[in-house]
Amino acid sequence: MTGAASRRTWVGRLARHAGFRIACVLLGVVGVFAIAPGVVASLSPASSDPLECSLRASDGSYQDRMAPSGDHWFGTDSQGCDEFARVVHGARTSLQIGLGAALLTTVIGTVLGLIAGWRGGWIDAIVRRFADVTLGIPLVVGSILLLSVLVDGRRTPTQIIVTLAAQLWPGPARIARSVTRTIVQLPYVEAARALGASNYRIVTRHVLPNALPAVIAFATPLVGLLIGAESTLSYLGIGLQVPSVSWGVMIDDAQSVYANSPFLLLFPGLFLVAAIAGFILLGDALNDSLDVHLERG
Amino acid sequence: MFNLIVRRLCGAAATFVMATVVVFGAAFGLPGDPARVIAGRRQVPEDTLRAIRLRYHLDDPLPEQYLRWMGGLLRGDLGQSYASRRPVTDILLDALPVTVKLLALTLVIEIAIGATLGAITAGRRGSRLDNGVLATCVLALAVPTFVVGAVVQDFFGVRWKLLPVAGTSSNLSYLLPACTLAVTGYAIATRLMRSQTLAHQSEQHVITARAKGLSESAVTRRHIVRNSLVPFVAFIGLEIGALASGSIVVERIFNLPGVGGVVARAVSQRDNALIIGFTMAVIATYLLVDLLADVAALALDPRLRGVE
Repeated sequence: MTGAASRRTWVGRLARHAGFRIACVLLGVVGVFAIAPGVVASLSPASSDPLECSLRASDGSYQDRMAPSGDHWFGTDSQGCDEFARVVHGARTSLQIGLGAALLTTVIGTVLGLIAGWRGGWIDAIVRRFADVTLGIPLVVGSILLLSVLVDGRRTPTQIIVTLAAQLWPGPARIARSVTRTIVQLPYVEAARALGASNYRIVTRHVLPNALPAVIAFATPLVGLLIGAESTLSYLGIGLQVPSVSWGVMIDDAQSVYANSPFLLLFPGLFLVAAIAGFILLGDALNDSLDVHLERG
Repeated sequence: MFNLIVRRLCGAAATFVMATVVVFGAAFGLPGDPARVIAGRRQVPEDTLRAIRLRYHLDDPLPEQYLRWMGGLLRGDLGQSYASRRPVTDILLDALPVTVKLLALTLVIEIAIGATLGAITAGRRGSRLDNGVLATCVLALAVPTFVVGAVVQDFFGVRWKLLPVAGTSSNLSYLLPACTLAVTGYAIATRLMRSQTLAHQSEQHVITARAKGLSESAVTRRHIVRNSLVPFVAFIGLEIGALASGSIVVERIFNLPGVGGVVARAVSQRDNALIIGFTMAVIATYLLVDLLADVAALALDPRLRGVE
């Protein structure tokens, strides 16, 4: 790497990253859908309400599973709902679950990792063993156990977020733990402690800022993974259920009619892939440009 | 070396015991009526619930229940399926050969393709080929397995009639499900192999090999590729967990009578005894494979033996 490039800050490196630009476009589109679904959906001539559906049009003709047309840009689903409106509104649910679960995972993992790395001893041993157990249960299997055995009645997005976060916290916990253990031994932490800084101050001022880049680079593609996981759970019948509007629910609905109406699977699938790919690319870009070792030269 | 293996074995055993506490606690210890859980939360008369409690000893104190359950586990008894009344162990063992075949084929496909693509792209870093392969990897990671399955099944099976779409009538039936399942893993394998190869390219022993006049292909084959393959042992260990998840989806799409298919059905039948038994079986398998991967890594790479 040339001198000029290495002097550039991580923001500059990020802005020049090809993957970052693609990620911005993909996540921009999905983000607009999620923030203002009503506005985007009302652009099309059809009804913009994803739940206001009727099997028959005003002239009495059936309008379920119609192919994409000028009126219904993405066609209509089995209930005669406008697929475009549903795809647009589905973005909010999928992003909500993805971002919510990633945030919860990161917070739980980072806190546990910090405590384990800071305290060491038996607390550390217990956290690590719990992490091993959690990692030993595959995501879908653990979700089946939690959502199908424990949850009664209609499943809510919060239950899905908690289920996913309860299984994925070991990732950020390991990162936070290893960073904490490295930092604690450094002379400047010793100096801070000698100057009378409290544990809280050392953790928030010295440990956390050092752990954050790695944790963020881990959590970003995780959002994509979680959006995919939500749809997989819906597909297996243990995720969100109708009348919730999410891409997973829509794709699950579309499976059985795929032979005649492939577009019902392809449109939500397309945006699902765009969102997941966006977060993976953003994660790669952050990983490349937030690299702690690069930053320190 | 022997001590290390014994220590890993004890660690795995401790993890397994803790897993039994977690799973048992989640299924039977949390508030709620386990009898209703076993009944799959269908509307059942109070008499049936009482019969279930009697049969599964649910009125006993929790620690006693746990010990009985744990004793059964150690003897290979995973309990009885509520839907079919057969022992869970028998159901899973009957379905196992199909899943083993599927997962073995999947691993071969993803590692063969991943290692090849990773080595090639690392050799031409920054080329159009490199960027293209990396882009397809991101795409492969992003497309959910059940979308790949539906599309692949439609094109290769229904439209072009090249391969069987469902069942296990011939060995060819495994090809489509295995390819579907391999889509995510091949992307991870490619990225792993590429970064490994790049890291090894500038190592001292590789530079020495070049300096002593070894041909570029010999350097790549003997010194770079061979060393880059070592982390794949750990990759297989981790991948087993992901494939256990994936096989539930794929076996449902392609209607394979494997373990995943059995579990997918258990979910829709709310056969919780089977789900809990299956979870324990998966944890045991994962720990075993992980242990074997650790031992294999120790055998392959003498440097690891000095650690700890």
